[in-house]
Amino acid sequence: MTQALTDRMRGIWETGGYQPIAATEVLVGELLARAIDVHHGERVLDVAAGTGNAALAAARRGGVVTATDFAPAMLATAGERAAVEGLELRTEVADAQDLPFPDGSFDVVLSTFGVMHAPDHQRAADELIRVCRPGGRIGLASWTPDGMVGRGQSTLPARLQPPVPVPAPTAWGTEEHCRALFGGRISTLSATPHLHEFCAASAASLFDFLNRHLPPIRFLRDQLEPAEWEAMAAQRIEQFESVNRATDGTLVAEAAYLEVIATVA
Amino acid sequence: MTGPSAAELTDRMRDVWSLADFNPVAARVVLVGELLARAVDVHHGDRVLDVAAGTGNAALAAARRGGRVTASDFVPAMLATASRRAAVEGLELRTEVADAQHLPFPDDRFDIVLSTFGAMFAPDQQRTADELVRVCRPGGRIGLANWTPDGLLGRMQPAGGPGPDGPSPLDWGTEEHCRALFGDRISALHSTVRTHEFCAASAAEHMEFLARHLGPAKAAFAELDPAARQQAMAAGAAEFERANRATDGTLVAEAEYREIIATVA
Repeated sequence: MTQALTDRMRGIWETGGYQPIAATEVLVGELLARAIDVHHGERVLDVAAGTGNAALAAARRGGVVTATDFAPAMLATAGERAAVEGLELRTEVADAQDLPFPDGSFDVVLSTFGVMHAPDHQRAADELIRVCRPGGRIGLASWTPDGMVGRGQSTLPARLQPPVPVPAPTAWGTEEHCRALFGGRISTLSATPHLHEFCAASAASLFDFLNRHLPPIRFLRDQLEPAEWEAMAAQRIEQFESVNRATDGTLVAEAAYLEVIATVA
Repeated sequence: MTGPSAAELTDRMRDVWSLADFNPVAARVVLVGELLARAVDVHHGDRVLDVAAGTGNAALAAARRGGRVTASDFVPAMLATASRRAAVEGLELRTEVADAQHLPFPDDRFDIVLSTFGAMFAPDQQRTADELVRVCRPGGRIGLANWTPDGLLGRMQPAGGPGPDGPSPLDWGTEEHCRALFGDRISALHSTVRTHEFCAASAAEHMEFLARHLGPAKAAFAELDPAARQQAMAAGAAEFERANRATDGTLVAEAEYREIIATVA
């Protein structure tokens, strides 16, 4: 079941896109790399790195960085971004639930809005800990269940909801879930709520933008009847508008995420 | 005895800044532009100018938020790099070669005018401030990031500014000086002191890095004989070491800067 889900997700993400969205979320990776205090020469792994926001931020601080993702096209973009920046970046195609690295290979393990989407939470958490050396740090940025992104889950028609109650990806956006996943294998964990700002001409145009560049949404559209799609779109647009702090007619939507930093015991 | 004119100084500075590939330095300072674009609150569709943009850190940050951005600098090669960075990010960016003291734009052309560690180095400070205000529409915002006199870069006496007789670029790092330059042409000004972190293998390695990639440093060191160069490098490294908060043998030097947001009257 997990393997089938993972394969399906890989297929969706391999259809490309996403960099236009990643380009709007650079600040998240930059803040995470600073908060987790990457030092020059540290071995850093960015898991489910997408097009490399956190990886690039760590490399700017002198980290020796490997970016992994299960979608090769996204890693190719990460490589191009690094080259233009004059930064060194290694990339390796890998499933977050099955990392091809020996135990304790990294000083710092990062994931921004990445590992949270792996179907098997426990196995993904186990892998983050396994590849991080004792005393090393794990840094995550995850959308919260009640935030703008998290509430999107509830707009799906019931027939598309998972048949068994697996935890939602946004469970990673709560401190309790992360503590439960890591258990006694960490010595400290701190969680800081942040707001990311999605700017667009309007709530409707943000929906169109995500619709164009976020592969899972394109996939979802193919699964829905036109009326269902329209209803979901209207609900999402309303949700974006409800967190809009702009008063000039544009959108500056505040999307809550949790920054978690854990030290491996 | 009179020193060189502002025009002569500007020509000299253009030559000096053209000596080295600056982007490796800019790539380590990305967070400053990202934080500034958020603090100045760029909205979708805002017309944004980045003055003395270098390779475009603030310009790219503004474009990520949907700003319609023009990056200007007096070194064409830096703007070419800014364009390459924008292209790989999938962001739109216009560039225009221009001296910060003579901006080739009509009055009130922009909603937001930014400069990170850029305009502060122009020889004629009053004229530069006048230009920032002139091209920004009434009610628009000017956002600056300037090294402070008492911070690490202030103590380094950064090369590339006017001689000892002229005003120091670091004066821009104080609120009083900015208020004096802008006068009553602004209706509000607030500022925040922030710390940027320079990470490297060591303070000495960081000085070698600057000598390679920071045009003014490269020029200054080129004029010295080997003994004097070694002495200057050691003095610079000692300043970075004083600001070093790392205890693992690497460098994480804390460099204070002031983020200034002014509203044009």
